[in-house]
Amino acid sequence: MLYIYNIHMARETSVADRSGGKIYNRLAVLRAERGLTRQELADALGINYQTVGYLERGEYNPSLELAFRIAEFVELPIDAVFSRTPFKPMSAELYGSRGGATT
Amino acid sequence: MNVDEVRPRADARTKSILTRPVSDKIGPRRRRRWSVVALYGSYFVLCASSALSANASGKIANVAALVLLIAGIVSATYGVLTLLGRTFVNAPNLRADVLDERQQARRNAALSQAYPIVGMFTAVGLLYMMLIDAWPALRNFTVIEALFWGAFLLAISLPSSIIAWTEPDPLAD
Repeated sequence: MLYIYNIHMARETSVADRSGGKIYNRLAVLRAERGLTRQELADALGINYQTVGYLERGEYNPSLELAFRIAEFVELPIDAVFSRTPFKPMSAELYGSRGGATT
Repeated sequence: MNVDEVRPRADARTKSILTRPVSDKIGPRRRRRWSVVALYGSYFVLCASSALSANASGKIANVAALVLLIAGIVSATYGVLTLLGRTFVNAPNLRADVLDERQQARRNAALSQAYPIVGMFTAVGLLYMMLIDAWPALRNFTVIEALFWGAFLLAISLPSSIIAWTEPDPLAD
């Protein structure tokens, strides 16, 4: 019974939780900016398109090697794509320091 | 024809078969769960058929055993064809290099979850063997057969069944 309970709990606990913390990413935004489908991005990265979905929803933390591959593909530094803290919206990062004052 | 000429082509052919892409079409989770139920249900149906044909006599019992046997074979065939094909669901029985890193992680998790269950089932079988050594009156070929086939079924299909049962519905592209 304990074993079955453990299996149930393992299923309920996300991969991100088990690996010691959630890694946030901007993959969905970056993919949309480039007008790519999940399948096209997956083909470019050499992974399954379902895995792209898991990455975008934060349900799977990529390996360091895959994270670097993604950063190279989108031609951005790795810390612009992945972070251990939630990303601010792009608009807030671009215009937040202006305090909302526009001319 | 020289063996040295044939071997590279045969090796390349074997490699292309083993490394051909794994299908994404794993279907909805509800259907996969029905496949798991069909596969393990067939085990119990076939055990019942075996027990009936071994212990009961008479025409009705024989017909019932035959019906159960056919139902079990049909159900097992459906389960095997839907679960143990060349899709991600059957990742535990596929080579690692045709899976990506998330699929490999899911496969490893399923194998680690299945291993103790297969081990426990096998231990029950071994315990039964020890018991019939001590008390031959307990010897029952139907039970021995059920334990053997159960261990075999769990060993080949339980990791795939865990993936089939737990993997969410696939996303649309």
